[in-house]
Amino acid sequence: MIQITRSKIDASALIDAVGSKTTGAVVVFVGTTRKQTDDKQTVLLEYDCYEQMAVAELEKLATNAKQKWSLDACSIVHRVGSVPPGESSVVIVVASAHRAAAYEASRWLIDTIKECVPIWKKEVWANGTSEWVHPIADETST
Amino acid sequence: MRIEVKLFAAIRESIDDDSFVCEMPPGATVKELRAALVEAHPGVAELVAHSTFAIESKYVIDSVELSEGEEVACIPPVSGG
Repeated sequence: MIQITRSKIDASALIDAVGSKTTGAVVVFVGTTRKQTDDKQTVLLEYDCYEQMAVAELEKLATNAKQKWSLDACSIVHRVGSVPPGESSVVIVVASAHRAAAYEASRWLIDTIKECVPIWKKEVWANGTSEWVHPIADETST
Repeated sequence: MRIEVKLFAAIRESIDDDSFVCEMPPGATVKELRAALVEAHPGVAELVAHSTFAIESKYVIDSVELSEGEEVACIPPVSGG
């Protein structure tokens, strides 16, 4: 399942929905809002999204992952809008016969989502400032 | 050709608009569109320089020609996930 949502993500429901009689491993990645980065406190993350393209890109990634690692299932749900600290912004669930494929696919999916999918986050800091995150390749990433 | 570009994140916030509309001559490419956006909004020049464009939800390179009626978007460096 691929979904962009403005609501809290129900990771348990996603886990329950995957798997087949050949599934021996289910790996779940949950991306959450950090409350603190270095000495800065985050009060909120705001996510913007080019929704139709984000869904298309996520579907492409899921299809590629399923083919490359022979997955039984691959679900990705990304939340957009306001995400408070401690809540999930993305959940990726992969199911496969053996754990090696599930671990590798899960890692590849989150790494590739971070490079390709048209979703952007804005950090809202406790000191009242905010900043869109637009990592530029030749700068050090935070 | 009337070209409308969907804008997002810091570009959208800086320009205070979710799209940029301009007239481009037939045969114009993404490269010229990028330049037109920067000329109209020099404050976002650096961000646009690091942005990729998409046409009909597919990433395109600067040499691609524009066609009227296609959905164009300016995609600044992403930070999802």
